[in-house]
Formats: sequence, C-alpha cells, structure tokens
Amino acid sequence: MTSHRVSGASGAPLKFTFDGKPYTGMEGDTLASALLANGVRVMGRSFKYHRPRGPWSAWVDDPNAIMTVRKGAVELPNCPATTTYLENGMNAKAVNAYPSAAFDIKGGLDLFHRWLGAGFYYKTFIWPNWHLFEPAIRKMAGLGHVTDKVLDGYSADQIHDSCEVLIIGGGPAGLAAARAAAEAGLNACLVEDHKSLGGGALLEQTIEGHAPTEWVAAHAQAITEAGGRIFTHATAYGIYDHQLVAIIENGSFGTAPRLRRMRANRIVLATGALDRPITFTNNDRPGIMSVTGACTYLAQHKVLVGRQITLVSNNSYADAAEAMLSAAGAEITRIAPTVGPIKAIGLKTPVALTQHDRTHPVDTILASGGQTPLVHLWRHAGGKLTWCDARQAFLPDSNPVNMVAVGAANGTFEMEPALEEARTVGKGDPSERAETQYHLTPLWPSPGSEGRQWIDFQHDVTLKDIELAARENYVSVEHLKRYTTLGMASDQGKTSNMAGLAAMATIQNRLIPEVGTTTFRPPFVPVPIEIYHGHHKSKHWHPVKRLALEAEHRAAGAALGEYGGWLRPAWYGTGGMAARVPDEVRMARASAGIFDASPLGKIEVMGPDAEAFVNFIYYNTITTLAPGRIRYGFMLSEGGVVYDDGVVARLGPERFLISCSSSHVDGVRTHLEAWRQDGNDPDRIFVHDTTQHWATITVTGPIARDIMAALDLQTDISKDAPPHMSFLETIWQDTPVRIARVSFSGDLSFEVSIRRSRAQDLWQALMKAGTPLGAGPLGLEAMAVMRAEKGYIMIGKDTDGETMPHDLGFTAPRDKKSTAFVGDRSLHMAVANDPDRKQLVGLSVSAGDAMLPIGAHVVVGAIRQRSLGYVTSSYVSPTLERPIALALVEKGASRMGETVNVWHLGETREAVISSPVFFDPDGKRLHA
Amino acid sequence: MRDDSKRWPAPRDPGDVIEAPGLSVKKLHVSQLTLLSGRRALHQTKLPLVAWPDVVTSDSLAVVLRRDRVMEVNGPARTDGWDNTESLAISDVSDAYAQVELTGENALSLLRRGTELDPKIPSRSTARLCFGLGVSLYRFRDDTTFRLHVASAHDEALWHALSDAAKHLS
Amino acid sequence: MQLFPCPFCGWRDEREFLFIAEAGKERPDTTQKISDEDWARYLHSIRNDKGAVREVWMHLTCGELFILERDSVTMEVIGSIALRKDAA
Repeated sequence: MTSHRVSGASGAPLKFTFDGKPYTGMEGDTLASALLANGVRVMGRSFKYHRPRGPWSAWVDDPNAIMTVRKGAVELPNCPATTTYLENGMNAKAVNAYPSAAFDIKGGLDLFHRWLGAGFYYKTFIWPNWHLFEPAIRKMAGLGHVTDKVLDGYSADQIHDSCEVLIIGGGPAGLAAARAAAEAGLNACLVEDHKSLGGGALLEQTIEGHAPTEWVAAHAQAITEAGGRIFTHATAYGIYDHQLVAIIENGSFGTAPRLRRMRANRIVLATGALDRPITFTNNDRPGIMSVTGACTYLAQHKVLVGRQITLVSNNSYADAAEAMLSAAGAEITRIAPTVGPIKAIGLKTPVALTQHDRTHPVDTILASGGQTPLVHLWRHAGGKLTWCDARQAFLPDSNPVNMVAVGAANGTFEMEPALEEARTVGKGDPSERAETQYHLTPLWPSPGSEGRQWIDFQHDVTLKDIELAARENYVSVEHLKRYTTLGMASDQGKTSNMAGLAAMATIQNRLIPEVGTTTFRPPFVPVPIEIYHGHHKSKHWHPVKRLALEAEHRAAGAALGEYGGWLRPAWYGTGGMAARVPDEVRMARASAGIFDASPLGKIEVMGPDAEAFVNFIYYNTITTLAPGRIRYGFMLSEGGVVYDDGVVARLGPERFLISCSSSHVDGVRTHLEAWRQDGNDPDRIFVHDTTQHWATITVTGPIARDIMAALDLQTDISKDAPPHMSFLETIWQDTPVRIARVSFSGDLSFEVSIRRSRAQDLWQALMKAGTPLGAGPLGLEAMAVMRAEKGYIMIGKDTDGETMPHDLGFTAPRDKKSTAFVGDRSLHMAVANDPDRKQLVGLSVSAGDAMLPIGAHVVVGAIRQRSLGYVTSSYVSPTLERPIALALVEKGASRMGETVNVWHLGETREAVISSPVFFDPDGKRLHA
Repeated sequence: MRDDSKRWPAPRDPGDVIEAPGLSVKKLHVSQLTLLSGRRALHQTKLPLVAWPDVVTSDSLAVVLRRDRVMEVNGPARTDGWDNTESLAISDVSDAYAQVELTGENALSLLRRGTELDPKIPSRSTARLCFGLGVSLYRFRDDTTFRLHVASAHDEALWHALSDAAKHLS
Repeated sequence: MQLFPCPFCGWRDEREFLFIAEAGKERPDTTQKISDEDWARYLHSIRNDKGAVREVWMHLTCGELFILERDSVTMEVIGSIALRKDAA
C-alpha cells in the first residue's frame, strides 16, 4: 500500500464500506483519511471526462472525492470525503462513477475530450442542434442522486445569537486572538470547522516552547475560563449585512445541522491559507496532493500519503513539510517546478515525474504553488483585496466595518508574528501587517504548454479551455467563469480560481490584479438547503389564519381551503364541490345561507380629522355619509388603479369602520398608516385594526329576516329597520353585536358581528333558527357564484393592474368629487381617458353550452387575431341555469349585445356581451 | 379549490402545554385588552407601562406598542370610540389577541429561535416579529418568564412554531 | 440581514421594516391644476442614487413612519429621523 497508517495512531476502529468493499477506519478519521489509511487512492471521477481522482487535500478545498453516503436509513448525496467524519456502519459510494470509482464504465469519455471542451454545450445550441445532444447531456449532468425518502426529523434548528467578538478559525491565530479577547473581558466566540481545535498548530514541532496539543488545550481552557464560547465542527459559511455571520453547526451523520445567526460587534478572521495546485501535465491524477494536505493527514490522522514522494514546490513552506514527512518514513525528492515544465506519468497513481530529460520514479507527488489566504468571508463582508507581489497572493486590504484578518488569512504566514498580531487584534487594538520571511518564486500556468493541464479538477477545466475562452473573447473573469464553468463546482473554485485568472492574465499580457477575481459569495462550503428554511417550510412557510368557528365548520363537514391567507369553508358536506356548490347557491336563493365572513376587515379610523382622512383615502365622497350609514367604495392607488373595494360605515362624527376585503386587511392598514403619518396630522387621526376581535356571520336570502327575528336582538329588524346600507349596534345575550345591512349576494342580508369568543354561540343560535326554515351553512365557493350572478367584482380577479373605477362603471367621483383623494389626478391622465380602455362586462352563452374558460381571450379579426380582453370569472349559474362569465373587454360598455369570438387554447366560440348583472338587475331582492 | 381540511390539523385544545427541558409554555386567559391611542396615550394610562426588557409583576399593565399607543391588559372598562375630552381613540380588542406564557431557563433561547432578541438591547416598544408573526413580547414576574400576545388567528401558527422549536432544546 | 433603527423602538431586524418611498417627494395639491408631466414625475420619477440615500420606511410592528438615511452600496446605516415634529 502506498498510503498507510503510521504507528502511534489510537482510536476506536470503525467499520465502513466504499464502493461495496469493506474497510476499517479509526475514530477521528474522515472518509478520505480512512480510505488513504487503507491504501485507497481513487475516490471519485471527474464531472465531465470521468477521469479517476483522489483527494487533493485534507479539508474543504478538496474538489475530487465526493460521495453518496448511506448509514442505516439515511442516505445523503454529495458528501465531501475530506470533511465527512467517519462513523461505524457507513456505506460510501463515489458519486460520478459506475460501478465504482476505480472502474468507471464512462471512463472512456476522456477519449472524446477534444469535442467536450469549454462551451461545447453552448455551441450545440447554435449547431447542429441542441436537441440531438440534450438527452445525453441531461443524463450526464449533475452529481449524486437525491432519494425520494424524506428524512424523519431532519429539521434544522435556527437560532439568533450575538457576541462582542467573533473569531473565525480555531488554528493558532484564532486561538490566540480568542484568548486575548476573552481575557480582556469581551464576550468572545470562537468557531472552528474541524471537530477538534488546532488547525495549523498541529503541523508544528512546538509552539512557544510547548507541544502543539498542549498549547491548543491550554488556550481552549483559558478561553472557556474567561467566559468565551467555543463552537467546533461548525463553519462560518457566510457574512451578511451588518456583521451577521451564518454559522452551520454540524452534528453526527444524518442529523440536521443548526444555523446560528451570530450578530458580532467585531469579527476576527483567522481562516488560514490554502496550498495552490501547480498546473502541469496530468496534474489531476490520483496521488498528486497538496503539501499541506499530506502534512494534515499525517498530523491529524497518522496517515502517510506515500512512500516515495516527490515534493514540487516554489515556496519556503515546503522545508518544514519535507522534514515532517521524512521523519515519518517517506523518501522525499525535491523538484523545483520553476526551472522547467514537469509531467506526471501514470493513470490511477503516479509512477514517475519527468522534468527536462530526467525521470523520477514516484508513488506520490506533493505540490504547492504558493499560499492563498482564505479571504472568502472577507469579501462577503465587502472587504477589499490588495495584490502582494512578495507573497504572490491577494491579501485583505481596507477593512470592512469592524472586521480584521489575522495570521495566514492576513498573509502573516510565520507563527510568531501571527500570534502577536492575533493577540493584539483579539483584545481590540490595531495591528500593522508584519514583514514576511516567507518567500517564493512566482509560478503560474503557462499557456501554450504541451499536454492537458488541469485548472478546475471537479469541472474538468483545463488550461486549453482557458485559452479557448480567451480566443473566443470571454476574457472578463466573470465571463470566463460562466463560459468554462471554472470555479462553479461544489468547491467554488477554492483551488482553481487563482490558477484560472492567472492564466487569463498571462494570455492577455496583463497583471493578475488587473484581471481581478470573481465575486465571492456565500456559502463558503456547501450547506443543505434545509438550513435556510428551518421551521419555515411546508405549511409553516406562510401559516394560514384560523377562524374562531373552525370547529363548527369541521363539525358541519366543511371542505377547508386557503382564501386570502385564511383557512375557510369552501363548501359543506359530502358529494364534492361540483354537487355541493350549486346546492348551496340554490338554498341561499330559496331560503337563506349562513356564511362565516369573519375575515372581513374591521379597521376603525378615529379622531377629529377622521372624516377628512377617510374622504381622502376613498374614491367615493365620504363627507356626506351620515352616522349609522354605510357606503360601498373603492380605495385607489396613487396611480388611479382600484386597490380595494368594500364598505365603510360611519359609527359617529369622528369614527369610521372600514370593512376592506378579507385578504387585504394588512395591506389596507399599512396604506392607511402611511398616509396618516405622511401628509396628514397623525395626532388627529388614529387607525385601530380590530378585525380579529370580531367574528362576523352573514345571513343572506329571502328568509334572512325570519332567522334574525328568532334571535332576541333587542332592536327592531322588521322591514326597513334597519334599511339597506345601514349599521346598528345592539346587545345579544348581554354581548354587544353590530349589524350591517350590506349584501354580497344581491339578496336581503344581515352581517352580524360579535366578539370572537362568542362566535360559537351566535353561529349555533343562527343555525338553530335557520335549519328548520331550510337554511344552512354557505361556503366561499357558493358565495363567489352568487357574487358573479350579481356582477359584483372580486378585486384582483375581476380587475387587473390597470383597472380604474370608471372601467367598472363608477364614474361620479371622477367627474364630481372636488376634494383631493388618493389617485385623483391619475384618473385624468391620457391613459385614463383612452377610449379603448378595458371595461367590465358580462358574457353570455346558450343555456346548454359549456362555461367559458377563465382567461379565455375575447378576440377580433379572422386571420391575425387581436385580443380585446379576457374572461375573469366564469361559472354555471345554478340560479339562472346557464353559464355566466365576467370579462374585461376594450370599449366593453359600448358593445352591449355584440356577438364576439372567445378564443382559448386554439378553440374559438361565440359569446354575447351583456351587462355584468345577470340576476335581479333592479335590485328588488336587496330591499325585500 | 381542493379540500385542505386534513392538511391543517384542527385547532388544539386550549389546555395544551409545551414541556421541554428548561421550558414550559401555556396559554393564558386574558379578561380585558384595550387599545388606547392618542398623542399622550403613554401618559394617560394609569397602569404601569411595559417596554423591553422590563420585568413586570402586576397583572394589570399597559403594554407599549408604539409612540402613541398602549394596550391595557386587564385594565379598567372603557367605552369604545373617540374620547374627545381625553383625545383618545379606544377599542376593545380582548378577543383580537391570544396570550401565551413561556417560562424556564430555556425560554429566552426558545424565543431567540424566532427573533433577534437580546435583554441587553432595550426597546421602547414590545411589538416585534417572532417566527415571522407580529407579537407583543415582554417579561413577566422574573427574567425567565415571558408573555406574548399574538393575533388570535395566528395563535395556532405561533403555537406550532414554538413547539417545533422546543424540540431542539436539550 | 440588516438592522435598522426605528426612531421609537431602536435597532430591529430588517424583516420588521417596509420601504415606502424615496424621501423628499411632496404630493401636489390635486385641487389645483397640475400638468400631466408634473403628476407623472411625482408618480414615477425616482432618483435611485448610488451611495447615500434618504428614504421613507415604515417599522411595521409599531407602525412608525420615518426617514432612513443609508448607503445603497455599502448598506451602512447613517441614521434615522422621526417624521413627528415633536418626537423624542
């Protein structure tokens, strides 16, 4: 075995399988370290060419080893092997390989690489024909498979938190900063993405004279003792506005993670740096790994990644690595990649490395092209970067608000200055970036080279693809990224972005900082979508409002549906909607329907300026409304478009009750508040939304008065007392009730409101009185039919974003109202005066015909048809025993009696334009 | 329209409680809630004013909702409408809000699952969003007991949010 | 997630706020003659400045309408001003 576990490892053995073969790992292993300990190299296949791949690194920057992992009943796709901690009983499988990563039947795709270069799939859009390639491409696209099994109890916890200083990264700099912060008395939090603290400290021989593990433990203890909090196995994956840091806290495999929304006064970034790959021929082969990765496997997992190692590095970091790996028993050869092109030989493992005419036998190649500070979070927070020639890297420049980088993330690569910087910053003092002893010879991809040299391992973007993109003029790094998919894989370009933009810089003869970087966006590591919604999913996404009478409706066999945010009875009883709705309409027209109208708005406007204010808000004149009377009216937007319709009742000289649409209450309340405070005197107008204090039950139908009379209402409700459109307050069973004589059905109606806690009593009393007379509960679907029979509109259904009141036949205020009102001037603009405006009409078809489809277009012209408007509501009227429809049609009011064509999905029918009022046009029944 | 009556469980028994480590939640009965609005409404109520993070001990109190509005809880009976003498708009809203009480060492932690809440950051109003729902939230009796008023129609929604979140307490 | 300062309640989560309009527009007196152009400008013209902006926002939970000064690029909040003349 090339890679193997060295002596000194201790930990409980853990059994697992990979691509069906059994292996044994150790407590503390990741899937990748356990497989390496077992000598397994090939852990995946690349996305496009299915090239064999092994891990490049030991942590989040690995683009190669991606697995579907199953344990018990839980299966999760796309788990990075380098960051998935091993558990007993895991079954892992490479995602993009069949039957296994080692023997993938699609491996032959690599032979076709010449036809699968950058943008190949865009080119199929142009020539010869995308549809020839689509089935095959769609089948190949994507990694992993989502099972259709929903994980029981997989629900992310989300919690808001805050601290004075948040230190991101539990390596030496992070630990030193956190300790300094906590010991300075600050409320400090430290986040580390590994299960254990230490990071780069573990790669050292000693730190400040101590063994690394002792130094780390002492710091962790000091932080906790000083009141600091430490989160391990938790990743700060995004920084959002105003120092909100999103932290994912991982648990054991298959458990939903927790999202901690940490609001930090100050953020210290101690995220370290990554090894950059070196771009050479076949640099993607398994067994070619980062220097830091190899050292990490040895330090954290006691795994030596190879025996005969060639160390290819352009920087001084490799010296310590060489010492560490040789001490563990590896035979190391150093190669300077800067003196001539190199090439790896070998398919599933390297067997040799050539440079000039020399061939070095190897089993492992370790590469480092320099250190790249991890500045992703810095950029999330809006921090600028500066190019450092000495380090050949982008470093944090001017600070985003309240954020400082320390240690390797800041380009301070050496331990002593890094610790000093971290301690200074941790306690809140400013710090200057120290000079560095670190040195390297610049080394970047050289375009025009022989062979295939990989830039993005996961998405199979090679140097030649970058050159092709440049030839085709995709030279901006953002275009380059989209065209080649460079950096768009699940690793988000952690290893590939620098090489890609350096290559583009060379091709264009520009400097790296001139080319710039692509945008860094959260999340820094892949996180489950689950974490974003937490509890807010399924029916909890937008919970419905519940009626006081829900239990009564359920007992009456109601079908419940969501209407305007409320869960309301659609119809009652068995037999389905098609049978029940006409029955309910007939019942209500013949005797009476009892309807739960509780969601209707009840917004009170009070104060000395209430009258003027309501008059300003409404299209209709309100100043002439007498106390105890009700008026139907519109609220307009300032653009003159009908925003809401409803009735307004005047309860007293300085008190109005606005009964807006059930679904519009929150919007209308906000609309009123905005106008109250901006442009009016808010000390003389007050708006109380009392909607939910009241339950409202409407009794509608020819015998409505008889049912009402059965209640002991202590008031006269005989004919015309109260008259239509009047309002009165009385007492029923010692409880105040309000009675409004308004009608949505065109029949005699009483709207009775009572406090929510007494709604059941009132409902039962009305049912008791009504049932013997043939009345019964009425659902919303039947109510909608009855409205349409009378031509009563539903805002947003029978109106659209252009409908003005005069399109609905309400012209008087537009012509006569002299005081200002919302939307007034818009009603006289050219668009409002356009003679071709769509107007509300009815559409009639013959009694035996099918109803017109909603959305069907009223059309003119034989060959080139033009739409004059469309059907907004359509029902078969049980009352008239024929289909009826409402429509918005150009010049509709002047087309009465005209026969028009109605087009829907290729079929044309005839209909006759009529008045929208189909039933009882004289309104005799209203005043019955 | 489809029938969603099974998708939404019937409203819970009002006597239900949520019990979790360091937490218990129950519904409270309120006898009287009254909205008072006026330029000087905060000075006109006789009841003790409650803002965040005040801890109140009296069962009768005036919850500050906004610059010119309080909600009297278990306060005196008043007549609805515009009071011209006092320049106060008055509405009985006793049934417009449901009230729940959370108590225990994890009560704050539970609330922080639904809102960015910090006892060290005071606020003159108790009105805030919690689990996406408008609530009025204040401390009662001690610093681990919280009372919430939520719109009656959202009582079930808040309860489900609280009980779901309580499953994460340990 | 931004934090905005309500002049009455103090700092709160942005989810509690609603943008109303850019500050500084005054509704023309519609009882007087207004040209189509002036009305259209009032209805539709917005500055949409890059950088420091003054906007009217509503704190939905307490209903307060106020001027929020902020930076539309950096998202930095510069301050808030109550619309009430005698607000304290």
